[in-house]
Amino acid sequence: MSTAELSREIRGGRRRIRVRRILHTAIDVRTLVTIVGLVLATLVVGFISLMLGDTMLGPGDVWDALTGRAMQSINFVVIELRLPRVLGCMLIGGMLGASGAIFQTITRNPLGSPDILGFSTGAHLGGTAAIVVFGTTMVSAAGGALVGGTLTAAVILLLSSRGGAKGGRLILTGIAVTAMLSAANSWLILRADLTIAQIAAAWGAGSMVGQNSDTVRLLVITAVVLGVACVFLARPLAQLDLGDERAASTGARPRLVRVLAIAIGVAFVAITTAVAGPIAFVALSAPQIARRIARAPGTPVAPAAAAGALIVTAADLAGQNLIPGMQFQVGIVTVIFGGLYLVWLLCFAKGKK
Amino acid sequence: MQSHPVAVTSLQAERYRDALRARRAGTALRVRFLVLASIGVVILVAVSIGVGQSSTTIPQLWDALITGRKGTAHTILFEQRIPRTALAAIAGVGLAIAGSLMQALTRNPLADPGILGVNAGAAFAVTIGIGILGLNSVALWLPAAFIGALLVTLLVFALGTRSAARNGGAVSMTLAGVAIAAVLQGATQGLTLAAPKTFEAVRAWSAGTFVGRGVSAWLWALPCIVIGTIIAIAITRSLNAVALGDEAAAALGVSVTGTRVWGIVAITLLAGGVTAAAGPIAFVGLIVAHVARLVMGADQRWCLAFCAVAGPVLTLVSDVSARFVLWPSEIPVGIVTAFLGAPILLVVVLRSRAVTE
Repeated sequence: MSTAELSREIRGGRRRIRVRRILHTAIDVRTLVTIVGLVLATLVVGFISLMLGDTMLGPGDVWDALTGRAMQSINFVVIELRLPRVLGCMLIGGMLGASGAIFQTITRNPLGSPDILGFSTGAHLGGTAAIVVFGTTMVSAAGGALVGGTLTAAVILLLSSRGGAKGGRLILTGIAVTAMLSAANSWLILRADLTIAQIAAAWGAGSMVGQNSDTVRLLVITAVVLGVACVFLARPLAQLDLGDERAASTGARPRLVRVLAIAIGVAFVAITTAVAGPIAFVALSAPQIARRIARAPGTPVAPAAAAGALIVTAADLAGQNLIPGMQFQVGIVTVIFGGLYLVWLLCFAKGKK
Repeated sequence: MQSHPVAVTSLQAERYRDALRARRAGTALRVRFLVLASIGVVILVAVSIGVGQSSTTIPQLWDALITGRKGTAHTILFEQRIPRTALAAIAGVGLAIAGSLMQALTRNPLADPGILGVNAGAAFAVTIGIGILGLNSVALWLPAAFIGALLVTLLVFALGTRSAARNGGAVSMTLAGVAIAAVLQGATQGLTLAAPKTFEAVRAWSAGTFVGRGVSAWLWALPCIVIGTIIAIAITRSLNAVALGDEAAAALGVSVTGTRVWGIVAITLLAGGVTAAAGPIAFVGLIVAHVARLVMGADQRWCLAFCAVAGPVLTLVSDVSARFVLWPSEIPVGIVTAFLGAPILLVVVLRSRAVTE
């Protein structure tokens, strides 16, 4: 703790703790509490998720399995079958939430999220195309998703920047592009061989079923690498909020920051889409929910990530266990509740557009 | 200084004559468009009946049509081509007019029963009907589709006007409609995936297409479209007044609420009827109603007439394309309309200022 500096600053009525000179950030107390709270909630929901299923396990059993003291069969169920899925949910949710916060900050619009803007659909199409053309491997799907998402992002931002990347135009462009890419996706699936088409279609429903230790490893690596980059970008991103001239005068480089942030955001979306298929509306709702709980100015990335993790883990739990006898994919649950949230946001919410 | 009375009169008369000429020219132009579109419909109907994937030749089809002799050609003609063409034409009329009504009533150039979720609502209701109530014919699906379409139309109106008033403009309303559509589509998909056996019949139905709907699907859709169109025609004058604004319309003696109510009834009949018979199909209303506005001007009467003829043109072109794009198999016509409609939506958005407030 010798290099950390703990000092309280009272700035404009908000109490902050300055942690670690190196990062040059000051973290708001309430935001920190929000992050910790959301992470704890996520862990609890994840734990419950490990307990429920075809074989119902008690908390003691799950705890034993996690600490390596359980019987072989219980160990198998918890560690091999359920844990990758739960971990996958948390990581994917975190990445989607972070991506949403980044884009909402850049577009300065609470509706400027990758799924509305069409990046997720682009990543989906890229992945499907890669599966159909190059084969049904994880690498090809991930690579295709990355390329597809980046291209779509470039096209949409290019198209809408001619009139200024204003909120309305951006979103409508996104809707149109999403519709077109979706149709192209359906066409591709119809064209392909039956087995490939089935794999592509199953991947496209936004499901956690296929999670295993390989995918989780990929997710962890991505999350760590990009997450670190996010941390370094957090302050410059917040400075962008002031407007480009002010940001430049305070030493940030707005163009570079924006490009890097978009790249990271698209990468998050592409990897999550590659692993689990498109999961709608998490990137849209997580940052806003986190912002409201933390009552923070702007849309901070870390609480958004924590909220996203909670949402996806809870959605998976609900989808599997809410209605006995029916299993809903994660993507379906988030579409329904996320869509309702979007309607609420448009029609009833207070606060800036 | 007194101007010569005769000269003044002839100047005014000349101006009046010019105005009349311009107006008649405008009318003549519009009539020309209508005639063009009608000819297009006739040609496309012939093409749609004559062209397809089976190896039956046109002389054989003509022979079957004239003489009524049973055989392969007869089956294909009367069980596939004619029902399909009829359904496509009727769906074109219904969706285009519904789109025109929605755009007029919501004053939103992006309104379309597919985008705003009306078709998704009808589809969801039919899904519930098939899966839970076990309804299994178009006739039974119609009431379900009407209920679904009506509820969503009301919802879109209520929420859409509210969000438009709060946040501004067509964007919010469109987004609210898109969100509702997404929720309903997600729910429909969720049900079909979660209980595949119950909803097996729905999977076949749920992609918008004109083929494989049964020989009598179009017969059931026809009265709904006819009644809906009649209502639409009846309220065109009121719609023209409402387009000026609520207060202006009231000042002209038009009942704004009454117009809206009848408009909603018409939209429900049109969109619900088409969706029950052909499944959810998007973008037809958007494209045709928008082109109608561009070509015919803002007068709702001309727009409606154009929609009635140009709608079938679009759906028939899409249906014929759907047969050949993926030779030898077919793609659902809803995909073709999305391919056509999305770029047009993009162009509308990028070129128009009115949309992005």
